[in-house]
Amino acid sequence: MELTGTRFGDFTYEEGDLLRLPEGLVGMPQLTRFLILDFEAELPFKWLQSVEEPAMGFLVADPRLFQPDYSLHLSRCDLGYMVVTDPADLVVFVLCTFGGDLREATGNLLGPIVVHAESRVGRQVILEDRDLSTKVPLFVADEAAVSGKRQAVGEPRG
Amino acid sequence: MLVLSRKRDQSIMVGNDVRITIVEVRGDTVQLGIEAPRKVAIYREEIYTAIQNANREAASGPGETVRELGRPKPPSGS
Repeated sequence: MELTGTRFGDFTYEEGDLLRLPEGLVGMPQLTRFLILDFEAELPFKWLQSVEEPAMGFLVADPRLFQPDYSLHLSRCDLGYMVVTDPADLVVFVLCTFGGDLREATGNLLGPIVVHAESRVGRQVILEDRDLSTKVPLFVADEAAVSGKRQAVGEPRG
Repeated sequence: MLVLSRKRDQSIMVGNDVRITIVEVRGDTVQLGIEAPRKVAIYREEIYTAIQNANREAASGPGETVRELGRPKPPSGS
């Protein structure tokens, strides 16, 4: 299938590539089908591309990029319609807000997207933790990763 | 907005599947008990609004920053 008119141009995809959020995103219930795309460059971000509205896409990241000790305790209410037998089957990512400089991107750790890896069905969960924010800045120690710098590790070969 | 008066322990049905009960009234704070199917999401309104706004902001990142990232790879299935 063809998806045309995204910010990055057109994409070809299979039904099996889709990530489904049956309830959509909070405030955007019409966005239920997405592609999750990796960048060519080594970035700690992925792109969550809406299939229903090609102009809509989101930078997403592992919440631990913003808070290394981030952990979720999901209740049955949080999981809603998702059928989950093992929490290890879940993948979690957060929507990022960004401006001109990606190093100043923030993550919405209060409303992560939780996805059941095998079925590729997920939900935006709103956590009850009052210490979490919708605008958590990148964890400072990872700035090097965001700038695309790599550190040489280990011994040279030979 | 429908406004109803309830005393403690009285309830309201919303549709066939949602029941809201006044559990406790203390000063200006009301404790509500909500029974609903698992598929119905229940949130404090101000938190819901905060997430909604954050989603909208996340959707509005500038095109220039996005283009600097380069084109994503096609989905792995294709």
